[in-house]
Amino acid sequence: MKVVSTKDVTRTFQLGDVAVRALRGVDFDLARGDFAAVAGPSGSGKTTLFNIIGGLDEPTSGEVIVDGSPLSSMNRKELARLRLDKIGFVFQAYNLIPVLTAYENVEYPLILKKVGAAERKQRVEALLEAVGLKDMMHRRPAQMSGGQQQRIAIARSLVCDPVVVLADEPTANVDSETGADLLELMRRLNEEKGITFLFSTHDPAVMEAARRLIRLKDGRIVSDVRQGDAPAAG
Amino acid sequence: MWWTMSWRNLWRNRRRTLLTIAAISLGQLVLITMVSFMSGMFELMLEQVAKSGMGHVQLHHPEYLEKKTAGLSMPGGAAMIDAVERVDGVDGVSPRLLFSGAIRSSTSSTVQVVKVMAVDPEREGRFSALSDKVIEGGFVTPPEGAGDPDAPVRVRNRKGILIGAKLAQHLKVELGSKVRLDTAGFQGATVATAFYVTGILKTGSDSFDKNMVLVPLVAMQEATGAGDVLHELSVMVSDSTRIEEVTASIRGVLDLPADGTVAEGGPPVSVQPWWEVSPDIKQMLDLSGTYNGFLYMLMMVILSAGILTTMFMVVYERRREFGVQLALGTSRGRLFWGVMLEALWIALVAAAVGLVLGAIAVYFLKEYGLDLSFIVGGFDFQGMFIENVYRGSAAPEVFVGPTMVVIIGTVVFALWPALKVARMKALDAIHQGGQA
Repeated sequence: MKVVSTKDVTRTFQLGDVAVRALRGVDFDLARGDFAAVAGPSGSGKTTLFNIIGGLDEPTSGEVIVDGSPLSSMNRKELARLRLDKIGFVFQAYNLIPVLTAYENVEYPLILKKVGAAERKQRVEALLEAVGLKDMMHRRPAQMSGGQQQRIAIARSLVCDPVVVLADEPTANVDSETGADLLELMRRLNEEKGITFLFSTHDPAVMEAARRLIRLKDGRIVSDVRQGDAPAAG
Repeated sequence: MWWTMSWRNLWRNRRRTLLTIAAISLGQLVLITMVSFMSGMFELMLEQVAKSGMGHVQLHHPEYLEKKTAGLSMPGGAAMIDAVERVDGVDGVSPRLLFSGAIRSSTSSTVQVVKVMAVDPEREGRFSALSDKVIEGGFVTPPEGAGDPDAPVRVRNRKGILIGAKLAQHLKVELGSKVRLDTAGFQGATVATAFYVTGILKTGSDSFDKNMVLVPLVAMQEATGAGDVLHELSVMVSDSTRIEEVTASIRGVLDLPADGTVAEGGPPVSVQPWWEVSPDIKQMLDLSGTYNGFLYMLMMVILSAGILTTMFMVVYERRREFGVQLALGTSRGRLFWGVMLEALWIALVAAAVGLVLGAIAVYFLKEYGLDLSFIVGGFDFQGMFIENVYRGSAAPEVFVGPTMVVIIGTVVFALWPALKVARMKALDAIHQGGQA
């Protein structure tokens, strides 16, 4: 079952008199349970693609469908709701809310969704347990290491049961050992809970860990392979 | 979570928040102090105007205030005065005859034109603050030997007069000196009466110290042959908020029309509250409202500078954070209210601090007052003597107005930065923003 589809997506930025074509017709489908990475050099269009899939940016042409809903038909409010309900974000710089504790950061999206207190507690504690930081739930981001913050960010991205987690360079700001731990955590969550992950990465370790590797170059998909499996369609 | 989050956000830059709160609180302190001072000054002026002789309600012949001629008197017998004095809410009355006159000493040719106020010494003494200003002698007291049946007739019939210190100096008279007072009588003829100086007063105001004399009412009623008539009956009301009610009651007691008009064939008496008698004074006191409005506007300027600077800094510094919140699915309304809540916290903390500081300032202003005599000396206003030690007012509106201005102003000025946050584009904010 497709959770994300991009259909001939292009994105052109106008920089003064120069038109920069960041995406030049990107087509691919992401199936439920995929553990995929989009790789490519700087300027290849990875971040632009992520922003468009996440509803943070609009394609110049083409269509993005998330869990059956075409994003082009949605207004700003509906896109915000889609992000809250169906997309989890993990950022390179963690981007936790500094004034909230680890527990409150994970709880934040559930409060936005007006989930009841008892259910919030149960879901947040379960996720903190899953990422191995239940004993740090009362710490604020500044009191945690980069790896620990990224684990909290992963827990936050999962708390609303999204159809896909978009992880933008999730290991870029941590050392290789911590990066490996984070990858192991996400892979475990993918295998045990069937959560779909899409990474944007430069990190060879992430590319190696992904079961599907999509390579972008100059705004086009140049390869899309299932690693240890048959090449994926699209 | 939202209240907690905004409270914690407030203290991320502790020094800036404290400085903002301090600026707003100090502004509020100044505002409370100024409003208290001005309100206290106007309250004092109103009280002084009343005690200078005007009272709160006045009774005259309906045409007296317009024409001010001696012939326009009203009936003023003891029964009428007693009836007014017994009206609920009346604290005191003072019956008067008022003349223009010329005074000279028996030993000098110097003449001074004066206003002559003929009063019931006992009632006027209780009624008017002038009795506190007597520096020598008594307040319209009889001369030595006057009224003594054993004294010679010329001594027994002597009458006392209270004059101002400057007038005494001008006429070169002192306590016990004989003076002659010429006044225009009721029939137009000049009435000359001899008086003995039994009191000298000093108010600091020329209107009183040089141009006014007080004599016994009975003496002038006898001298002019006018009988039980008055030019004015001033009424002091125990609670200044009941002036209208007491005015209506007096009209009722005297069988006068309730609307203040004069009934045909009825007694020629008009009962008016002080603001109808002296609309100029009313206008002057009404200026306090305008003045407070100006102060509130000034406070708004201080607030706008403090709040806009702080909140725009917050918006600028936390752009990325706001962008991330938008990316996570936070609604723009939620971000807007988040910024507004931070402003509200600042407003509440600053208002509480400002209120405490203001209360302390008002306590000292009310308890010890501010003596401005070194600047203004004593002064008279519309012929009324005004004190120069000002005490602050501690009326609830002194605190409520400035506090509401701080809270509402802070929240209103935060609207702009809050709207700016609500209009952010998540992507731009994340990529261009500062530290998250």
